[in-house]
Amino acid sequence: MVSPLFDPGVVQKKIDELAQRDAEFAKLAESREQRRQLEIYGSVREYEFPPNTSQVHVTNWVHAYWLRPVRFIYRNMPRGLRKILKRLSVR
Amino acid sequence: MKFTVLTDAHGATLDDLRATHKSLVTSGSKQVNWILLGAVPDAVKNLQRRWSFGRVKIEIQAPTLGPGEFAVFLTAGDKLQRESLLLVSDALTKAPDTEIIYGDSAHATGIKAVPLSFSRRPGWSPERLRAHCYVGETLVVRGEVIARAGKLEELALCNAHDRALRLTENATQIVRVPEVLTITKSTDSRPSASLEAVVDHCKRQNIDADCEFESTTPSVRVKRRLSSEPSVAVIVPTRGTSAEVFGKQRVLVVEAVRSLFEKSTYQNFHVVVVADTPTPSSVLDSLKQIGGDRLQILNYDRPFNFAEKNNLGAMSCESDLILLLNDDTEIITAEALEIMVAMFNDPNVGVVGPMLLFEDSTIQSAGHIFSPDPTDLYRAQSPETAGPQNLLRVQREVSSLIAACALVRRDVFERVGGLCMEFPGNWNDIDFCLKVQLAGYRAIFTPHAHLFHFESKTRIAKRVESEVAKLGARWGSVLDDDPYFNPNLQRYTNLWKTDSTSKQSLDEALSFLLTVA
Repeated sequence: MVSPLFDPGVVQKKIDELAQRDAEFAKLAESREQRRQLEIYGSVREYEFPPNTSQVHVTNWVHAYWLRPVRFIYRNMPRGLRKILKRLSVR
Repeated sequence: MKFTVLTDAHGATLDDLRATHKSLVTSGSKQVNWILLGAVPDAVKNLQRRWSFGRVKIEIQAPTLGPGEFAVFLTAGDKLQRESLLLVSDALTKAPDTEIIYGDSAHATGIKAVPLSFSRRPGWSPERLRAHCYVGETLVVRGEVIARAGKLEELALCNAHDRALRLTENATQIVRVPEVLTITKSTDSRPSASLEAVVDHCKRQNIDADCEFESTTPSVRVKRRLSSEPSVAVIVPTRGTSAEVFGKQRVLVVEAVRSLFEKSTYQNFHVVVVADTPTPSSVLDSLKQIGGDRLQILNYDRPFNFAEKNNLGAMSCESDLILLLNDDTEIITAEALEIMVAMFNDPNVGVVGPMLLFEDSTIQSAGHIFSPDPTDLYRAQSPETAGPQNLLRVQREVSSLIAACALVRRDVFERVGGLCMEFPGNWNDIDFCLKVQLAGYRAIFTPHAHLFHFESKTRIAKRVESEVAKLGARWGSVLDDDPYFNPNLQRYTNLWKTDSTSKQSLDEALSFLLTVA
């Protein structure tokens, strides 16, 4: 079955209609998203992918070479101080 | 909130029942009615003597549930996670209309060092439930749903897959709680499947299909029969590029179109090639030769915009369905088109996508996940990979599909405004699938139709910050919490892998330190 090839003018009109409907859907989705942001953050902000909190990622940065001296100091500090830091870090 | 827990005690050992009883005491509910169906009187007496702080009342006959009451179907030997009924109560407070709740589960592994493995479940996916009981065996169900589905006792004694299908047929508000609700005795974390249950379900739901049991998975394949032969317009945007595939140089678009005409068992289609001006005339001649009067060529002389090229092709012809197809594809499964077309027997299906493979037969796309950046699930993994809970072997709902091969209903395509031309290169397919779902239709991935997609394995879509912002402005909430993913899984990966919680990222740790300083 071969479908008719429309006149370029008709096709362009149809594409413009598509763009218009796309804009309507975008508006609907955006307003929904803005409502959610207002509920959570109290303001609308530009979207960014959230930071990676996965275990693998966390484990990797913990072993970064530049953290070695920090880790050394932490491990050798008085136990009381370590406990305070630990408590603070998981707050 | 009052819960009635139902357990089929036929053949259950006293130890199993004791373990379940103990978990009910700590389940977080002050009053649990535990109905033990088919339990021997001695076992019931023994359990009744056990101390439960007056929280567990044991009976042997199923009562009639009043409005607003909930039944919990629990297998003998399985344990409710500590305070899990509190989590269920919270979910019901947040969404009071909820009719059915299911959640994640933990399984005994039998390995001392790692005693438990976790089954993290996606959100409500009716297509997947037809394949296997992915919701698990523990369901929390509103009394009204049970009244519509049948007798409480019958439902408690039937097979888990059958029960889940019967109950969900009679419910609309089905919620997944992404927390471990049960610890199961079984070491097999794969979902169970019952062929009889699915055949009965298809009869009840008027689904015209052949059902086959796939024992290796295990799952049921629902092969829908074609009730008619809707016409398909295949839109192929191209520049007439050549590349080396399987050790031979080939013009990609020519072979893509040839494979459609020569391999596909479904032939009620015509092809619309949207060719950039630099496309060599020899390529166009070859295409005309292959397609004859079932092929149209449109000239595209504007700057590259993948979305616009597809929209132009789709609007230049008439058909019932539109197949968006990249020029670097090739059919593997001869029935691929037929399988995908048959999915549209379900009027709620808006878009369907197949399994795409790289040249070396590893997985290119098995549907997208948002973790939170959109990723092809199990990309570059072996096609033999079944995935956790046989995820890759069953038809299922997805949030988004790759437009390299996606079959769409024309009315849906036109209703949602086609592909967004503001995403010229990336993510127009994601935006499109999310629009389709916003319009109330479902996006389905089928692993039963295979195609090659000769994309470079190392290609990583260039992330443009303005496009991220635009996609996020529209769909931020879905990107952050993909309904067909699980918040307890690792992020920024294409695998379905449990993540350990309560860990901080470097950004979070540094921002905390700065706050303290």
